[in-house]
Parts: sequence; structure tokens; C-alpha cells
Amino acid sequence: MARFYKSIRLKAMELKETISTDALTASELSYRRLFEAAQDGILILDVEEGRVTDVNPFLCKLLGFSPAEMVGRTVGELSPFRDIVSNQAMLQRLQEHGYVRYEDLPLETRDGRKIAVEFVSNVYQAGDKNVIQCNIRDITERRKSEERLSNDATEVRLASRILKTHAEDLEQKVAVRTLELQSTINELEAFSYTVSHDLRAPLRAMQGYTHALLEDFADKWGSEERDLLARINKAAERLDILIQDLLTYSKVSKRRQAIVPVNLDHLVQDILTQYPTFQEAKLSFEVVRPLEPVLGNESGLTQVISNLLTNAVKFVSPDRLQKIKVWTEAKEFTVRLWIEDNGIGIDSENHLRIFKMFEQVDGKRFEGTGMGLAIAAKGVEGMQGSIGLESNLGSGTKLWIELLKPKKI
Amino acid sequence: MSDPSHSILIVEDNPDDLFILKRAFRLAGTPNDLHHAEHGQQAIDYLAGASPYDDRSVHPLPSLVLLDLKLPVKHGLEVLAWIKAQPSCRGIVVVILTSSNEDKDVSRAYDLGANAFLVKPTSAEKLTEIIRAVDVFWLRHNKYRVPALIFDNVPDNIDLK
Repeated sequence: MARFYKSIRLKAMELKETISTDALTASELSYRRLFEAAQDGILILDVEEGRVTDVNPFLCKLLGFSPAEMVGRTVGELSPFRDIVSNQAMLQRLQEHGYVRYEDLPLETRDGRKIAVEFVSNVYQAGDKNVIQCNIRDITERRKSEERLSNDATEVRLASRILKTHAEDLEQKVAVRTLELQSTINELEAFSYTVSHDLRAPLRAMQGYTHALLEDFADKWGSEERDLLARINKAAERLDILIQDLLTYSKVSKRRQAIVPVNLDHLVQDILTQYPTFQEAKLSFEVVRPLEPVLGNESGLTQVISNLLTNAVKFVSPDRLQKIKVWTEAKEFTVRLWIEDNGIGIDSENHLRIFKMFEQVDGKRFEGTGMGLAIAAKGVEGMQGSIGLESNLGSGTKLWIELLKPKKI
Repeated sequence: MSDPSHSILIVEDNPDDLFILKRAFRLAGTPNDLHHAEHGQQAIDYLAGASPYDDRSVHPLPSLVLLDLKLPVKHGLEVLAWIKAQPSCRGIVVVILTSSNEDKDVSRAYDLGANAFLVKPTSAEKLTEIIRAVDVFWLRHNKYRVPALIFDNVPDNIDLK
């Protein structure tokens, strides 16, 4: 009975051993598989002298040595590690810390290729004794791409520095220009202030004194003196109108107003009914309604259109009934407003002249300063529009302004 | 008929304009006393009653100041700001009469409390027309506050009851 138990015990012990041996074998097997297949180099060293006891295929391939050429040597004796890893120092540090790590070792393989590796060694227990396992990872590609990245980063830094310099340069230039522009604008404002204030004061004096002479001393003058005084007065009046037009022109050039949809249909009606100039009996207006809306600003357009209409009614032979036709022509992105008269017309040679300051092609015959169309042209320009005409001498004039079309809502 | 007790201070540096202006008042039939200051500081001295304007029987505090803007020594807008800051001048109506019709000047003048802004016309007839209008509105119809009811401080709450 006792023997039976003993034999069972023995069996059990055997079984246990077999299981544990099997288990051990299984774990060794899986370790071995990892060792063989690893995509990192692995060296196994003995803990006493640091001599290679095993080396995995990946490392052999990486360094270009066979296992036989490596086994039995210390790491320092392997040519790629020579002068780089001191065996003594490594062993000592392993003893102290159980761990040695070189982050970036530059190695040369057997065929002279330069590579970089990360080298980590650990001491661990394998069965009843300690061994050193060194994991050697090829980081050449990583280094290269890091280098590339860092080069790229340097380049980017350089480029951004250049860009920044340019931007600063540009900013400075813009600031300088803005300052120059502002000072020009200030000068212009000062100029028009001076014109409006100082140039007109002597005119007021001329008109005031001639008026006083004419009225207050009426009994002292014969008709000839009276006529001469009236001429002085008239000249002063004309100079005043010229100055006022010049001021309007400079104001229109300066004005930069928001561009919004404007209902031309209402605007033109308002101008035609409100301006006394357009109420005369010899005038006949035909407005083809509704006029298309345009992008502009109302006060600017009122000025432009009233100037164009004034122009249209002005240049006409005195004996004729004046017919003015107003209509709009919608284009893809713009709207053209036409104003046609049956006046004296303009020779094609003079078509460009009429939009310049103080130009009146037939200056002697008609009132005005020749500023009306120049002011209109400036105004239209400020609203991103254009102005032009079709005309021949003797057959009337078609003036047009073309402005942006508002977006359909 | 204008109230002749209202005197007028004309602040004008240009003798031509002053001549024409005085003539316009004459043509408009305004009987009121016209006083004159030829630059901004002189206007302030006059209104402050500083020497040589310290005799109020000769240089009375005006009801109406006709103020030009572009003036020597002190600009018209400075004079306007000064007037509006003086409790003693709170009863005075300030009408700007200048050749500038710059939007900037107009806005600044109203910001500083101008009562009206008129642009000097070049024609003498038009000036007479304007002065006639000033006479009708500011000297005949406008109701001025009683000097005795000018307080040193503007009350915080105006009692509307």
C-alpha cells in the first residue's frame, strides 16, 4: 500500500516535472522564435566576462558577420563596436544599474556602411544564471528622417524669417506710404480750405464794393459807368463759380463712400422734378421706366446725373425744342445709363476733351465753367464706374455712365 | 421790429467783409448795436469784459455773436468752445458766419454748441438776404433767456413739471 502511494507520488512528481519541463520548453521555444524573428538585433552575453554566447539572425545581417565570428568575443572586440563600447565600462555599469543604454551609437558594418543604432543591455535571470541581453535597434533611417526634418525645419525657419523680414519691410513701406498719402491728403485739404476761404474773400470784396457803388451811389453814375461796374461784378461772379466747381471737383475726388444699391428710377425722377433748370417749357424729357438699379452712392449719383442732364439741356440751338431721352441698358455685370439729347453734338476729335477740367469745346457760346462733365467723370470713377459718349457734330449727343449691377436678392 | 436791446458782436478779421456785413445789416434795417472784434482773443476779451472792454455800458454783453472761423490769434472754434464753457455766456447765441463750407468745420462747430452755421456768399445781395434772415429769426422772433436765470451750474435734473 505504502509502495503504491509512493509510486503514485513519484508519478505525480514526474508528471509535475514533465508539465513544468514542457512549460519551460514552450516558453523557451516562444522566446527562441522571437529571438530568431526579431526585427531588432539581439546579443546574449555571459555576465562574467561579457562574451557573446548567442546572436540573432537580424544582427548578423545588420552588421554583416556570421554568428561564429561573434560568439565568444566581447562587444568591444566586435569590430563595429571597437573603440565605441568599452566592455569594462559596460559591465561595470550593468553591475551598478542592471541596465545600460546608448541612445545613438554610430557603427560601421563589415562592408563599410555607416549606421546608427540604439543599444540597450539588461541583466536578467535565465534559468539558474544571469545573462546579459543586448538589444540593438537600427535607427539609421529614423536619424536620417530626423535630420531631414530638422533640415526642413531649419529651412522653414529660415524661410519664415525671410518672410517675416519681407513682411516687416512691406509693413514699413506701407506705413511710410500711408503717412505720405495722409500728408498729401492733409495738404490737399489745407489747399482746398485755403482756396475756399482765402481766394473767395477778395471776390466777396469786389462784389460787395461794386454792389455798394451801384446801389448806394446810384445817382452818381451814367449808363457807361454802370455797365463797367456790372462787368466787374460779373467777372467776380464767374471767378467764384470757377472756384466753387474746382472745390466740388476736389471734394468728389476725395470722397470715398460706401457703394450700395441705388434706385435710379426714383433718383432720376427726383432730379427732374426738383431742379428748376429742368422745368423749362422748351424741354421735353422721355424717361424709359423703370430704370434699372445700380451700385453707387446716392449723393454721388445725384451730382453725376444732374451734371449730365444739365449738360444735355445746355448745348442746344436756341430755336429748337429740346428732347432728352433717358434709359438704362442692363448688361451681364453692369448697367449703362444713357442720356440722349438733340443738341449741337460733339465732334469725335473732342470726345476725350470734354471730361477734362475747364474744357468746353464751344466755350464762347454757352454758360458754365466746363467742369460739369469732369466732376461727373470723377464721381463715376469713385463708384468704380465708367463714362463715355457717342456723338457727332450736329446730330445730338448720347452720354452714358456704366455702373456695377447690384446682386439679385 | 427787432428788439434793440439785443446787441451783436461781429468777430471778423477781414475789413472788407466787415464793411459788407455792416452794410448788409444797414440794408436789412437792423437797428441793433453792432460791436466788433477783429480776432479770436479780442472776442474773448470783449465777452469776458477784460480791459479795454470792461465798461459794460459801452461794451455790453451781446445777445448774438456772429463768428468767423478762420481768425488770427485764436481760431473761431476756440472762441466758440470758450463761450460755451462760460456760465456768464450761456445766454448768448453763436451764429457761425464763415466762408468755409467744409463738412468738418460744420460738424465741429455744431459739436461745440454753435446755434447756426451760415456760409458767406460772394454776392452782396445774397449776404443781405442772409442778414435779413438772421435779423428776422434771431433778433425779432427768437426768445432769449433772462440773464437773472443763468445759474452758475447746470442743474443735473431739469424739473419738467
